[in-house]
Amino acid sequence: MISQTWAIVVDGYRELHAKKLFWATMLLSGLVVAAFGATSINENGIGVLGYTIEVTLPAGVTSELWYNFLFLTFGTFWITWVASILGLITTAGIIPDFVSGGAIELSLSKPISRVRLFLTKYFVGLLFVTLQVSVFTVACLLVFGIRGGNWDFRLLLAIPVVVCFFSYLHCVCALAGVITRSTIAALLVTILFWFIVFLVNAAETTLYMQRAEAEARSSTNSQVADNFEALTREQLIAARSLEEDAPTSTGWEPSDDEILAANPFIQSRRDAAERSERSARSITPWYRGVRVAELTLPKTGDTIDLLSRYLPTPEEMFGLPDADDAVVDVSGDASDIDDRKINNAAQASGALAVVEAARTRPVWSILGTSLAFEAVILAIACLIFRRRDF
Amino acid sequence: MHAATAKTPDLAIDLTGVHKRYGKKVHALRGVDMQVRRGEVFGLLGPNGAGKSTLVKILMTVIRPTKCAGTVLGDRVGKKSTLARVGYLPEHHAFAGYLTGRQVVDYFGAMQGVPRKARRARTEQLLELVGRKEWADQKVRKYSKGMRQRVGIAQSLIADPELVLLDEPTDGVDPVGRRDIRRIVEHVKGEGRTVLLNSHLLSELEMVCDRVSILVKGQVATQGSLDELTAGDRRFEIRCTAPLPAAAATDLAERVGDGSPTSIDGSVVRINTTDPEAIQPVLCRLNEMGAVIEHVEAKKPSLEELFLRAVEQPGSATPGADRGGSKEADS
Repeated sequence: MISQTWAIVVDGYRELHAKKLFWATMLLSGLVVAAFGATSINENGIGVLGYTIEVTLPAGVTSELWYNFLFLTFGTFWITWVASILGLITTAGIIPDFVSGGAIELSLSKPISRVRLFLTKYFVGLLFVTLQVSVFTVACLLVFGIRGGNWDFRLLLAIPVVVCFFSYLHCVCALAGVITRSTIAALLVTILFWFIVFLVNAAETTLYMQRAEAEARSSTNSQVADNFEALTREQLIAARSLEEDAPTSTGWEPSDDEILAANPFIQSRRDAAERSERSARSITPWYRGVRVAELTLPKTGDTIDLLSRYLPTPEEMFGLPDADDAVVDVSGDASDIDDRKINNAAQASGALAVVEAARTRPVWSILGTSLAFEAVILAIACLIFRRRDF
Repeated sequence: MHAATAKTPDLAIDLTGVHKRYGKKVHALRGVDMQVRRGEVFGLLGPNGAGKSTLVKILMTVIRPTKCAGTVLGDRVGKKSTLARVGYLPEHHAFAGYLTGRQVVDYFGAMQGVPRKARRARTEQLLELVGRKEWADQKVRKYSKGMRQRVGIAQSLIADPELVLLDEPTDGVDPVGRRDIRRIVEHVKGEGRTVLLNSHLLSELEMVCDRVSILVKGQVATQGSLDELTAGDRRFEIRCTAPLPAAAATDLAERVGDGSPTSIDGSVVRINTTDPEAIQPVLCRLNEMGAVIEHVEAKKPSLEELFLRAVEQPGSATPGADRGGSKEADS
């Protein structure tokens, strides 16, 4: 039993070894790591091969943070986009070639169950990305350690995270490969699927941000209106007390109509708050629909973003919104508050909400739902493979 | 274990009523009954589309039968663990081009569950047997069709199987290669293994097969040893130098020792018997008649003739043969 599994694994490695794209990707990964190693930071800016690009870096950026920044931006971009696309191209043919006429008969005629045969072949397909990411990450670790003294072994988390991410796409590729028996078709279906996942993720983020913005706008406008109302009330009472012929009753309070008539700005803020609230309400059902779709589909982006939770990075370098930008000071006179200010704060609030949601989403939820999707797709592929006549 | 196993332990393959349907329209196998004895070379014949490869694939679990009762090496058809004792060379097989011949044999040996040490030793033996040892470390993509077939046969034997199924092993192979493959099959048989050969090359099968089954339109048209299949058509032909009078036929027929039917066609006398003693009086009478005997030959139909008859007249059962329904081994 072990000899069969080992034989398939060794065969998978031989298959990859025979593909030029595998080595081309490995070489390009090496160049990317070398490029990382060629950079450093010093008091004047960023050093590249002995030269210094004079830039002002945020305060407190150390070598450790710099290399983590490089890894999280360019490194993850490389291994999740470029290397993964090359990986898909390389591995898309594994299942279609395996189930093609002439090859499959021999494999099926061996004393190994179809399900085990298929799953072993599937996991062997993940070898490509496992090898690529392992080599890339270990090389990064060595370069960062030697060049910057940053021996942060948390970088190695990239291996399971990226393999996990790749497996979401690989399972779809395997299913399409079993159904169509065509490498091109499997590849196209996978890329289309990836695009759909990207769209759904983008739609979820956009709608979430829009709703958070609308809620923030509504809340700010309400606060501004309340503040103005209180101010206007005080002003009216003060004005009344100054009028000589007015009844000097200490408990006099202006009516709401009097307040609104005295300051039309209050009504306009209340109207704006109501509009924003309506907008938030109208977004909610759409957001829920997209959220359900997103929950069902694998979370490619969220999975990769898990890395940024565990690797310390200078947030300023990522251009993250400042929490202070999301707050509008409604205390005091507040006469300088206008739509532009409220909108800017609402946008910052929406962006913060997205970042916060991404950071606080439970790991089990991201990986669990994604792996559940993968399990369902694999179960369907196994069922088809098990029942098909070849 | 299938009930038939206990009754027929000498059968390597014992099939009863194998059906395979593809959808509602295509009925590839229509109740195939077939028995292959242990230790024999069994030929599976049939025209294109008769269902030969489908039947072989069912035995190897590549295709699932619609209905099937039977055993392979005593176990029910479809039992995966039995396949460790069965070697298989599929038709139109395609080995991964990145593997060497040695790696192909080793890989499929591992898939058969053969331990590494035994695999290595046996790989060497088999590459020697198929005459590809000097090419063993070349990539398969560089191999000719004949070389691939030889490596294919080697991989089918890697697990020291009791039963070997070879689907068109001589397909695309030159005459020398065919002869070599025939010798390999004979060698395999000599080791006590059972061989099921599926081939179009009837002359090849005729030389190596102990028994054959002719499949026509998804059914066994006839099955048996070549002697059994040709028993009803064997005859002696006596060729004279000059035409004989038609009237002599009655005279000659009366002299045939076992009373077998006799006919005259020009200068040829045909006597439907397999007994050489029975024709001696006829030869004497021809001498008495002054006819000059040029040639006496015991004739039997070739496998090709049997095949064509089975294909063109599927209803005509050959005397002495069974049509796949009877259990010869039981009797």
